[in-house]
Amino acid sequence: MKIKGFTLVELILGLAIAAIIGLCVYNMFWQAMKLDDKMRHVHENYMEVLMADQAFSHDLENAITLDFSASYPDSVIFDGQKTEFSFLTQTPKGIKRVRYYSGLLDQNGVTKTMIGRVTNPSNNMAKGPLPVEFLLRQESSLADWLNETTDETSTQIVAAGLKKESFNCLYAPFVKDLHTSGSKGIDYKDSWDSKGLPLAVSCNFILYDPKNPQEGLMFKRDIFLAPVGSYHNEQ
Amino acid sequence: MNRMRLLRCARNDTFKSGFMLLEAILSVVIVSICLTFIAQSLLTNFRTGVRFQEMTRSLIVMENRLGLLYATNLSEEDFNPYPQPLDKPYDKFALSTRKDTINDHLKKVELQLNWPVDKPQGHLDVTTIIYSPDEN
Repeated sequence: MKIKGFTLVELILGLAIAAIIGLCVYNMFWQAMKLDDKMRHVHENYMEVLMADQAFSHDLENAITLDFSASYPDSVIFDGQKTEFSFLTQTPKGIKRVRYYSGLLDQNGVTKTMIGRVTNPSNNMAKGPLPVEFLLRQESSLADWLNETTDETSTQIVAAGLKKESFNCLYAPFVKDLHTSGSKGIDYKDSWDSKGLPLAVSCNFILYDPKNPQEGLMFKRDIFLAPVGSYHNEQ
Repeated sequence: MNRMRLLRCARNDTFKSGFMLLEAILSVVIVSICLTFIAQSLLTNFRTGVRFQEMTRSLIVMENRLGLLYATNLSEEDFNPYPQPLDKPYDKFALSTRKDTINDHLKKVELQLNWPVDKPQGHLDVTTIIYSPDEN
């Protein structure tokens, strides 16, 4: 009997046990892989948030004012709207006009984000179009900005996972006696059309969160433009 | 010769009888140890991811607060040595701030961020020296 090998009952029982154990292990690994994938997606989004923070805080902290009123009376040095803002900033390549806004790029535009992620939210084959858009940084030369041309204009995707229409900006004017009033004295407004630079720009945006697609992850970054001392002296 | 045959028979008998209980238990133990290690590494990966997210948010909170302190020239209004919950979207964080005078122009500023507010598990401490001429 021993030489004959396994009986049919033994074989079926063995297969059944192996199948149950295999199913449990497969299920566990499938869940773990899904969680890992989700985590990687969120991780990439957070990396891009840090990148976006670095990009616009660096640009805003180096913002400058130049007077073009004689030659170009319509030029606005710092143009702040609810969903976008543009200004002059110092870069290693000279003075540039930088614009931050949210939206999607056309097919011929850049598709790589600053951390090297290739993404296209309007063409997600697995789940259909996601309700996300890009945070974009457009850099133009002074000549391009003043003459309204696009010869030396480039656009870069700063972050890719922003929830649609969630990028909002607020602008605070200089306040006298800020040292006495503290943060309570700062009053943010929807737009900025004054001649000089604002005291601060507050950027709010919501990251698309696959775990919680309705709410997402909200971020708020307050960037103070003027270097230490300059507005204290103005007071 | 007889001894050899006896040994061969004994070995053949062992093979025919299948695995011993000890062997089966040993293999199950090895497999379960491997699975535990894999599960543990996945869990560690998940925890690291969560910690990275909290750290990113806390860094942004700190940058916001330091910018504000510079802008207000270290206004007394924005200092509180006891943890204060922050406004949305950072309402999971509590911030305590302290200021010490080094001389007429330099102040030592200590910021401590704790999260979550009710049962702090994570924290980020920043100590910096800020140039702040007396305005009084």
